[in-house]
This record gives sequence, structure tokens and C-alpha cells, in this order.
Amino acid sequence: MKYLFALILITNFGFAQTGIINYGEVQSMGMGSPVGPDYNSILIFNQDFSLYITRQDSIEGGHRNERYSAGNSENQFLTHLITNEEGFRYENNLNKKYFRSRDVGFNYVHQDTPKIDWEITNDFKDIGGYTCVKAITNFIGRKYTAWFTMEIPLPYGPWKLQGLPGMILEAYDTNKEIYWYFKAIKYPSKKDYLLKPIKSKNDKWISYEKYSEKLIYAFEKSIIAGRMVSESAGIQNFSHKNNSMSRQYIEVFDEKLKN
Amino acid sequence: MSDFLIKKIFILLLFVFIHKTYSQNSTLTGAVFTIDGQPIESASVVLKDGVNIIGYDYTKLNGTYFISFKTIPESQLTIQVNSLGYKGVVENFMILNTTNKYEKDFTLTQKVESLNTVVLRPEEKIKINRDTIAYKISAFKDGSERTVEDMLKKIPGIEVSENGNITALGKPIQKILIEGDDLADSNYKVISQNLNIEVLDKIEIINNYDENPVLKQFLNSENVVLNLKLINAKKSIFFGKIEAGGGVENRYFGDANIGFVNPVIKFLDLANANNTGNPAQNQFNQYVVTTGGFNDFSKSYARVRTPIIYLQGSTIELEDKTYIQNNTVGNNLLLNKKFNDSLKVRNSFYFFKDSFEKEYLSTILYLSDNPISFSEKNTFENQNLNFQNDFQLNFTPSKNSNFVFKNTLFFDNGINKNNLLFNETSIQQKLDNNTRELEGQAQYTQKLNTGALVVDLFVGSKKLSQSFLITPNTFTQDSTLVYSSLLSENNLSLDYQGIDASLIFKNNKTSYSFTSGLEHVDEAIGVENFSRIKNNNVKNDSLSGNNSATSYTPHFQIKVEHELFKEIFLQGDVDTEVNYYRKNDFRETFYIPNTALGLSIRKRTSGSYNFRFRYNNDLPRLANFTENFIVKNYRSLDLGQPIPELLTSYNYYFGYTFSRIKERILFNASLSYTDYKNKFTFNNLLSNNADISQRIYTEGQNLLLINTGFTTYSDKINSSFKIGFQYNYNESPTILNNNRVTITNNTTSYYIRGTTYFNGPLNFRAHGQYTINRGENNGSIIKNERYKINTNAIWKVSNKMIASLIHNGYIISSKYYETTNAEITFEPNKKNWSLRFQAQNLLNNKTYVFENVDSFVQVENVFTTIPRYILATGIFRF
Repeated sequence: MKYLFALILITNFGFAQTGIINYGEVQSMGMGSPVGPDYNSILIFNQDFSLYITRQDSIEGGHRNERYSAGNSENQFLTHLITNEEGFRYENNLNKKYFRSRDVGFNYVHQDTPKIDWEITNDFKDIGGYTCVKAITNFIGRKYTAWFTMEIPLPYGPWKLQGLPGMILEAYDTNKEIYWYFKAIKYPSKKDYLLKPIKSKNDKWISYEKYSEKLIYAFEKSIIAGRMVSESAGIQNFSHKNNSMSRQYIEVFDEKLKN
Repeated sequence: MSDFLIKKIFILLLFVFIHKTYSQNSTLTGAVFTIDGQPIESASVVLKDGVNIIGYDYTKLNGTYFISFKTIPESQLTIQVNSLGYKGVVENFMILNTTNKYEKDFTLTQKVESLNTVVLRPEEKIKINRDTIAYKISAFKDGSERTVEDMLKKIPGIEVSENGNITALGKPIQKILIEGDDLADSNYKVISQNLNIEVLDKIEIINNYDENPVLKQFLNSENVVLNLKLINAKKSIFFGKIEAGGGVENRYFGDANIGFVNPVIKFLDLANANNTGNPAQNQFNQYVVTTGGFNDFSKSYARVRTPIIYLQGSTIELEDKTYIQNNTVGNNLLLNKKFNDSLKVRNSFYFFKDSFEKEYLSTILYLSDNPISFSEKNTFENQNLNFQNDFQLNFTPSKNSNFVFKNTLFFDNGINKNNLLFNETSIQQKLDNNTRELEGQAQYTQKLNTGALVVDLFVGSKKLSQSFLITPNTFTQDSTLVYSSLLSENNLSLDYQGIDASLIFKNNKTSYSFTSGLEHVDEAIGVENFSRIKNNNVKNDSLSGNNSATSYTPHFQIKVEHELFKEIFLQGDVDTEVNYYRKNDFRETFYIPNTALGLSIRKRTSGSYNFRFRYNNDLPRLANFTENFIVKNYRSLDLGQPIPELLTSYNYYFGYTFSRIKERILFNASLSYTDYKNKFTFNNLLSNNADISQRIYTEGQNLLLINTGFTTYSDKINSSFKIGFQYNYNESPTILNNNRVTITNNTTSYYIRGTTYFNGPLNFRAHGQYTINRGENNGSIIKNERYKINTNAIWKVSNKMIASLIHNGYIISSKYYETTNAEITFEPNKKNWSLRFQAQNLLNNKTYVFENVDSFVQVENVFTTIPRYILATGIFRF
């Protein structure tokens, strides 16, 4: 009986241990360098699935809604540092091969885990004592660099970045307009209670296609807001080059924009 | 078959052969188990060739994996199998020539895994300068930009007004820095309007900018500055740009930038010469940065000495370059040197020579009991030769103390000539201005426990002599003296010295400060008038006199800012001065209180509200109290008010904004009302040949300004529109030819404007406005109406070429006037040169006619235009 208990304990260690990684997520979309609000984020994981949470009240030490920096209306969506009760959540379920999120606009999105076409390079660097390998990819409108470590042999990462032969500890796009950086890891962690699948109201989910349409609609609305504010203030606002979703969102669907 | 083709086929075959030899598609499959033979799910299997990862997979529920890869036969590969909670396995295997299918199973033994590395505490943030917003220039460039100013106009959050003043995030900027260093202080237009965009990488808006490292530690600042980041700034770089060109009608334009920048020294030389409407003095036009809000401790104590005679002529609302001919040459040499971490100096030396010419015909009507009308045919020639040197030293011995010293030297020689035909009489007026000014200011800041001490010392000495010659002497009654002149010699001086000390504290949501200081001001205006007949000057005592004033002013001020609730701020400021004042034989002690109170309620669902109240008292400057007549021009004499009094006013302001973008609604409204308890007005004696006025105090003047606007957007035609309404009304009692009258003036404007956002290469911006000016005194009404239409079309011909056409049209008194300008820029990709073509006054109009109504005067001006010309310039960068 004693041995059986020990065996269960060991098995338990082997299979169901939970780890937690703390990241910083700097969102500077449209600013050209990582100067935007810096959010505390966590990735909780076990062998079966991972859950990435960002902009959640409790992780920031309470609700935050601050004017980060002003700007004209095109930038207004960026200029608030704002968190919400549940945060934005991204669940990468290896077992069921799906990816679910509670994403921008509090949309609950269900999709098959996207296959990201990573190119693994020969560049290495040390992050927090882990040897990391650099991988690059083009993913939903941005060119990403990710640094992953094979010392944590799990295909997880911050936000929707996943599918490498090791944990992603740092990632960013070309100008670091979106930038995730590693702060700390705890494995095993006692906070396994945090690792819960995302629940939507009445289990209703929208497709990724539908979600991208909603994002495009919101973006086009904000462009119009920018034009109205410019008109109101009498500022010339002719430039069309500025109308890229990359100035507001991590995901960029510029080819689908109407304006 | 040609040799060439054979070679091509050979190379192709060789390539296919090599490819087949050196790269072959293979697969590796297998499964990963525990020692008990249980499959392990989610184990990573990584295939490496040396350090290169050439394939990987994670095991499925049944422990299996599948990797397809490309490699060279007979090479040795490594397989790494890892799973959290198990000991990893590394195994080598050879790629054989005989097969391309490989199978490998692995068994992993369990281990207790513990990773426990902490780099940062989870709540720690990486260090980011939170007050900075950086814009990568390449993201906003469309190729039509030439100067920093052109670029700024396209950057969100930055606005550039018509006269070149810049606001960022809704606030006027204080200066433009280059790589964090100040070169031109508030004369930043020399940088924004001259520096070429090609050397820049990023533009940063730095919010909450405080040069004072001590105050920065605990106070927020309302100051905003721009910082220009250069390409390759880490190294020493030498850069430059030369633009030169010419056109018909002897037009020329030349512009050069030369810069040298490295971390310890920054040097910039900006030179310009042109006769195409870019005068240098516009870059220096009395630009005063107002430091608003609680933290105004970087304010300038400099006092302005204004001339008493102006001879500039009229202006109209068209751009200067359409009716003023300039000739300009200027050079600005800017330098910033860092000696060590605590000592920095900055020096800017400016030199420019501007000359202007313009011509117009005026018909003037005085609407008094006995209406007077006359005409003037004017030509003006103005010339300015200007030198200015600004020096600044910053010394920061520790993070808790700071010392700044600033000094400005300013010399200006101006000659203004005006030839006119007054009705049928020919008159020449000539004004020589000679200005010499010196300003100095030193500031010391010391950190205290919960606040800081700031001490300012300031001094200034400013001289201006104005020599004014009118031929013939229009003020003499003797009509036989046709060749007589009137010579008016005016000497103005202003000297001041002072000290101000502030104690500043901040706790939680409240900032407060106590300031006290003392200032001494000496002012003098000496006037000598001579009748000149055949080079003999005869002093005219009735038009001469010496005026001087001295004041000693101690003051005490308390300022508070408090956040009442979230997004609700209350600001208060009480300042009391005691002014021991003496002017000629007049002596009095004035108690001068000034109070301001403000409340702002931001971001409510019903909108944002702003309330302000200001109780203002001011003792005017000596120019208002002269005891002898001042000759203002050939027909105007002005006498001051002999007894100084405080001028008191109450100002009430309310601003409101409401925005509901989803419904395409944006609304803003503001109202400002000023009630003047007493204010200057004039006792006017008007006759056919002369106007004599004296300053008098009146009660009952007031000024009302209303401004509202409604903005919307049409999704159907992708365009934004604004309709707006502006109204201003003022009432001022005055005396016209011994009759007391109340003059009311009101101006009402309605406007509509729009911008298109079409997907094609062509876009428009248009503005239409209808304005009614109405003046009334004692029942007589003068009124004029005008319609204004501006359109701007931009055509993006290709990625290299942009063309724009700007048209301004006016309907005034049923007549139509217009100006049309065009510009084409051609900028080939990745080349260090570009071309620019400009055409002005395309339709070659000869005159512009404008009517104005102000108080009891109605003026119609007919300006001669600058004739049509075309200019081509080439730009070369190095």
C-alpha cells in the first residue's frame, strides 16, 4: 500500500504538474518601438494544455484604467492602460487539438490549433539561465521572432505563439510593437488551480473567421473616429498609409480592409 | 544551339544533380514509452544536424511521432527526446544511402523535475520611459515631405499651425531637441522649418518634460517637447542637404543644412536665401511659450519692450507670399556641447536679412456724425537686419541640485519706407528702428524633504530708438512749406531686475507652492519732434517730452492643484503684488490682486466640462501714460492717459465636448465672456487730414466669444464633414468728435468643411465659409459679407510623384477673387536627390480686394499681387 501511494505520487509528479511563467507584455502598436503600456502576464501549463492570461485586474494588483498617453483618435485605443476582471485568455489544448481564446472585444473564439510555419535559425541566447534558440515566422500580418528553450520541452508560448520544440520565453515583432519578455518561471507551481479551461457563456463560441470580421469592423470604426476628430480640429489628415491595423491590434488583416 | 543556351542547360542539369545528391527527403517515425511500456504523450522529439534543428514533433496520445526531414546521406544526426518529468534521451544515428525511412522508439525514465529560475520579480516591469511616444518616420512618410515640419503634419497627435507653431498632444511644444539635446530653445522653428527629413529616424513626443532634474523627481510638468532621433546617431555623423533652384521672374530658392552630431557635441548650420515667400523673420515671430498648469517654474521672466510707432502697412487674410515680395538671406548656427555628466552648454547664433515690398490702394470711411472718407495709395519697403545670440549653461552637481544660466543678446536694424498718395497729396514716411537688447536669467533649484526650493534671478536691459521722418510735414498748417518735414526722434528704454523664490511641496493628490519676490522696473520714453525746413531742425515743444516710470514690486503668491475625485481637478492661484509706482511727478502705491480658479471634469458619459474664472488686475506700461503726443503716422497723433490706474477685468470660460463615434457624432462648444471694469478707449477727434486720439478710461466694455462645431462622417462616400458657428461680440463706449457713443462690433461666421478618404490616388479637402461683419455706432450701421472657398486637391500620381493644387477663392461685395498654387514633387526611390516644381498665382490675377469693418472704420484694400511664376528646385543630400 505504501509503495502504491509512492507510485501514485511519482506518477502524479510526472504527468499532472503545473508550471507558471511570468511574462511582461508591452503593447506599442503603431509606435514603432516598445514604449507602450507594459502588462503583467502569466502562462500556466501542464502536459495537456496551457493558458496564457494578460491584462487581468488581479495580476496587475487591482483594476487599472489609466490614460497612458494621449494622441489623436487613431491612437486613442492605445492610449489607455486598461485591465479587466478576467483578462484576455488564450488556451492551447494539446489533447483536444484546439485553441480557444477570450480575445479582444471579449469575444470567445474557438479554432483548430493553427499551424505556425516556424523557421528555426542557428542563433542562440541565454534567457534567465535557459539556452534559447531563435525562430522566425510570419503570422497574421506580422513578422515574429521567438526565442524558445528545449530545456522546457513543451510547445507553448505567450498569446497565440506556439508549436516550437520548446517553450517560448521571449517574442516580438519587427519593431517590438508587441513584445513579450520573460520574467520568471516556477515549476512545479502550487497555483494549479489557475489552470482552468476557458468557459464561455452558454458554451457559445465564434469561429476565427467571424472574430477577424469583428476586429476589422472595430478598426474601420476607429479610423472614421480619427477622421472625424481631425475634421473637428481642422487638422489635415490626408495620409492613407496610416490605415494599417498594425497600429492598433496584434493581429493584422490589412488585405481585408475596405477603406 | 548557341553557346549560351548550352551553358544554361548544363548549369541546370548540374543543379538538379547536386540537389539530388545532397538533399534527400526522409522520414523518422517511432514512439516514446515509460519503462512500464506506457505511451508518453506530448514528449518532444527534436532531430538535429550538429546544432541545427532540422525537424521536430510532439508525441500523440499513443506516444507516436512523425518527422519528415531533408539531409545529406552518410551524415550523422542527433535525436533529442524530452518530456517534463522524465529524464531526456539523446541518441545519434547515421543517414544511410540505402533507405530514407527510419524508425526509432525511446524509453524515458521518470525524474522529479523542478525548474526554479527567477529573473525579474513577476510584478517588475522593464525600464521604459513612460513619458515618451516614438514614431518611426518610415511608417508615416509618403514622399512629399521636405522638412521636419512637413513630416510633423502627418504624425498623429502633432499639429502645425499656419505660422509654424507646433502643438503635440494638444499642448504647445516648448522646444525641439536633437538626440536629447537642446539647440535652439523656443526658436524651434529654425529646426522644424529648415532641417531636412532625410537624416531622421524617429520623432519622439516627450510628455511631462522638465529640464529641471530636481523638480522632475516629484512634480508633473505640462510641458511637451519633440525629440528628433537621427539615423546612426550612436556614431559621429556628418550630414547635409542642399536645395537650389530658380524660376521665371528672377525667382530663386536656396537652402542648405550641414550638421555634425556625436554624443558630446552637436553642431547644426541652417542657411537659406530666397525671394519666394519664405522670410526668415517668420521663424522668430515673437513666439512666447506659455508654461501652463501648476508646474510653471521654467517660465521666462523676460519683459517685452514694444515699439511706439509701427510702419508695416495693412495685411489681408491671404498667405503673405501672394502679395508681399520678399528677399531673404539668413543663417543659423546651433551648437550644444556636453563637457561631462553635470555640465552642458548651448549656443545659438542667428543672423538674417529680410526685405519686403508691397503695394495697395485703400479707401477709408470714418463713420462718425460727419462721415469722412479718403484714399491712400501705398507702397511699402521694409528691411530688417538682425543678429541674435542665445547662450545657456546647465550645471547639475548632484541629482538634488541644479543651476541654469541663460543669456540673450539681440540687435536689429530696421528701415521701413512708405510712399503714399493721400487723396492727391504725395507723402513719404520713413522709420528707422534700432534695437539693442540684453536678457539674463539664472535659476537654482535645491531638493528639500518633501519638495524643493527654486530661486530665480533675472535682469534685462532693452533700448530702442525710433527715428521717424514724414515729408512733407502734414501737421503744419502752413501750406507754403511744401518741402518741410517732420522728424520724430523717440528713445525707449526698459531696464528690470528681480528675484523670485518658490517653495514647492507635493503630497499624494495635492501640489502647492509659495512664491515671493521683488522686481524693479525702470522705463523711459523720450520724444523729440522737429520741424525740418531745408535741413534746419526746429524743435517742436508741443510734440516733445520725456516720460519715465519706476516701480518696485514685491509680490506673494500661493498656488494649489488638487485632484478632488477621479478625473476631477481643481486649480487655484492667488497672487498679490504691491507696486510702489512713480511716473514723472505722479506717485502711488497700488495693491494688485490676481486670482484664478479652474475646475475640470473629464470623461463623463455626458461629456467633458471645463470651467475657469479669472479676476485680473494689471497696471499698464508707460507707453499708455505718455504726457506728450506721439506721431503715429502722417495723420495720427496719440496722447497717453496722464493718471495711471489699475485695469480690472473678470473672465468666465466654459468649454464642453461630447463624442459618440458609433453614432458619428462629435460636438464641441465653448463660451468666453470678459467684463472689463475699466479699460482704455480713445477720445477721437477726426477730421479730413488728421486724427487725434487720447487714451481715456471707460467702464462697460465687454467681449463675448462663442464657438461651436458638429462633426460627422459619411460611410457611403468615405468623407468627414464639419459644420461650425463662431460668434464674437464686443461693446465699447468711446468718444468720437466730442460725442459719447457706444460702438458695437459683431462677427458671425458659418462654415462647412470636409475631407475625402477615397481609395484612389485623388483626394480633396474643402472649406467654405460665410462671414458677416457688422459695426454699429449710435444707430449708423456698417456691414460687410464675405464668402470664402478653399480647396486642396492631392493627386498621388505614383509612388515617386505627388501633385497638389491649392485654390483659395473669395466673394467680397459680389466680386470674385482667387489664388491658385500648384506643386509637384518627384522623389525617385533610394536616390539621394529629388525634384520640386512650384507654380504660384496660376491664373495670373492682378489684384485682391478686401473689405474690413472695425469700430467706426470701414476700409477697402486693393492689393497688387505677386505675378505668376514657376520655380524648379533640385535637392541633393549627403
